Amino acid sequence: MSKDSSEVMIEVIDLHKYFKDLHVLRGISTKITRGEVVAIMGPSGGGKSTFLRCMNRLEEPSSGQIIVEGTEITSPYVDINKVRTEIGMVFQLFNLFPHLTCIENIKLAPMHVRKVSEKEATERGMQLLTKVGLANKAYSYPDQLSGGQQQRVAIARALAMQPQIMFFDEPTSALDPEMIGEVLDVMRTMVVEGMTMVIVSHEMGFIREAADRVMMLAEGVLVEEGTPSQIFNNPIQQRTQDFLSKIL
Amino acid sequence: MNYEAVQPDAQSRFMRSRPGWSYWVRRYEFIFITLVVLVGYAAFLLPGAEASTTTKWVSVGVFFVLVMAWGANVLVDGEKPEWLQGIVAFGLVFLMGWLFYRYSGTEWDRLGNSFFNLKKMQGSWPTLLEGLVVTLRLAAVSAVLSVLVGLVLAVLRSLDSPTLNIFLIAYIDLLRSIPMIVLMVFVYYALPYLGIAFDAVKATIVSLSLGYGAYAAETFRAGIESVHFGQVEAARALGLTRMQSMRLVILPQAFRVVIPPLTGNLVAMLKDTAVASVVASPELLKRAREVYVGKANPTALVAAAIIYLIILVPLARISSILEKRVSAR
Repeated sequence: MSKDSSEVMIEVIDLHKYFKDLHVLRGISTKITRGEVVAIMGPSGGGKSTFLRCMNRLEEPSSGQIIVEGTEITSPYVDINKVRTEIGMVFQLFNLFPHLTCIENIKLAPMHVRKVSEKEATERGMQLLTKVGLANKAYSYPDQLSGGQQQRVAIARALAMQPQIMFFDEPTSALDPEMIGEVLDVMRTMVVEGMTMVIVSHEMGFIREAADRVMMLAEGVLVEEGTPSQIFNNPIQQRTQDFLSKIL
Repeated sequence: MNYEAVQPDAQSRFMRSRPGWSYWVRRYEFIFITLVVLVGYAAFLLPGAEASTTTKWVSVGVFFVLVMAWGANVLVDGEKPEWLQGIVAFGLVFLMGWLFYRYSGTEWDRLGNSFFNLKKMQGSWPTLLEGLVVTLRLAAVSAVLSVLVGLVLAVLRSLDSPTLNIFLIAYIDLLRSIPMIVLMVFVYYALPYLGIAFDAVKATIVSLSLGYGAYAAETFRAGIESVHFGQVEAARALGLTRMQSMRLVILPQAFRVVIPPLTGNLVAMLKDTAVASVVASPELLKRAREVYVGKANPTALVAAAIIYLIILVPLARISSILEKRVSAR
């Protein structure tokens, strides 16, 4: 799939989110097109994760519209579970199911949500495990795996639903430095395959090479967006410059 | 400041000039000598069984305190070998039994005839056995039902609906606060006035299931809450519904945590089946009381007590072992 296809996958219009009195997202609007890789950066507490989680309604937006493939998903008529099957999500702490083996983790949702037969789900699961380089760990339990391996299984689990979009919420932040590479490698292959991805991350090197667009989110506002080279080399806003000077 | 001038013999300023008292008390010489003294006390100063009450109390009391202090000195010392501590511990228990036997003034023959009279039990064992079967059946049925009640309540509770929670919490707190005997009497004697009549066995099962269901609900709730919230998020993000997440992700993890305390509840419930004798359920205690009245001899009650112990002690042990296994994970 070509990256210049202009089909809009997700459109966010004036998104606001309050936690009690705390105004976390203050009117965010953006569009994510098919095949695009969007990186979200910004200081902690700036609303990056909340923004991501609003887009599949793990957090309920307080106001604003989120349109996924032409459907306004905050509408009460929307079956949010169907929307979520189109959006794969990878968490900072992996959140693998500890009572299930890796392959069971992967085939759980296809079997119970997509109603795929067990045989087919297992086959597809093994393909995905091979893809992330962990076919030999299929029958291991998550706590027998390293952090990097767990995160790769978590990616395979998300991919098993054959989502149209993948969300990554700080996928490498909880990993030891020597394990970050293996997870980024898996993400790189997904970029090459043309997956639409939204990534909250501070892996500058990875973002620079893989992302089409960087969004700077600070204090709940979309401060600045542009290509990685624009943002990293010539940031316009003072807020962006401050942030970059701190993490570089 | 010249420390050497203050403590001329010390190599360091932390040294004492002589060992502390605990050093002497812990030495085997000291322990042996005091043991000899205690044996001497026992041989020459302990009164005969027919001595006056005051003499007995004072003399035996002092002896008892001294022996206990001597034993404690050995038992609290972590550096004494285990075999020695074992001998001392068993010795103390034996000594206590012996002192009681010698000085309590109990008429052992009468006690045996009243409470441990196997002759009087002839022909009554089948009655007790029938009672035991009823007890076990009551417990089994109530265990299953109470777990179901608890599971349903806990799952409803996890929906976090404020209105629903008011009713759930009211039920749980109420049923946990009512003594089981009151609940059974209420179900058996009062509910018929409202047109709901149960026979004795059913009334027992209903009371036990509702009462212990409330406990099970609290146990399950704790189990469900012990599962990390990231698990629900991951499940929901994959498109699983709330109930699917509960069934496939949360409950399997909660069950592991919940099984030991649930076994504990089961032990408590099995004990509480004895309460059913007040509503004339023909369970073990009720049948034992029948034998007691019929033979005018309480041996049957002792027999029932021993049967309860034989069943419940292993169960209590199993519950503790399960608990250790879960916390070891």
